[in-house]
Amino acid sequence: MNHTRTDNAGKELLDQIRAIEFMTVDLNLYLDTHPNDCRAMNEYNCYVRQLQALKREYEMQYGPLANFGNAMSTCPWRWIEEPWPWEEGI
Amino acid sequence: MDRRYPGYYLSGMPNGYGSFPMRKSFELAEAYIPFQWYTTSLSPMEALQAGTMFPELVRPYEKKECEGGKAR
Repeated sequence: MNHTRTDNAGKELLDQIRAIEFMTVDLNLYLDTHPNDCRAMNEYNCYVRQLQALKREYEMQYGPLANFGNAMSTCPWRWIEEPWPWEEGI
Repeated sequence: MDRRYPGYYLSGMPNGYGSFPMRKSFELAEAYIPFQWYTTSLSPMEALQAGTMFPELVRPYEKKECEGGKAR
């Protein structure tokens, strides 16, 4: 099994994804009640673009972040690669 | 009965609340909050740590000595 997910660069990339994704969550919640705030919406779109790029970069190197149609796989099937997130600590 | 007072709502309830002595001067609770405006945001990493990207919403839990005992 491939254990590349545990390397430092992968962890750093994953931390970045978590932080950027959190910004999209918080801006999303703000925009639900402030739908005309264009500045917030521009920032939301900017973070979405960053998030997509970061996720693509991560998935190319370390395997899929989500299954059921969210990311393509190389052969052999990458979803079952170890370690699972709960096996490697944060 | 006057629809503006709690007695109106309570009188129809099956559990006896309708007979609860309710003075006309009591009104139902109303909540008011100021509307938030986006000014500035924390950096993504700071926001993740703080649980919000809005500096004005940061509410850190701090241990304090409380009356009648030590902080738990």
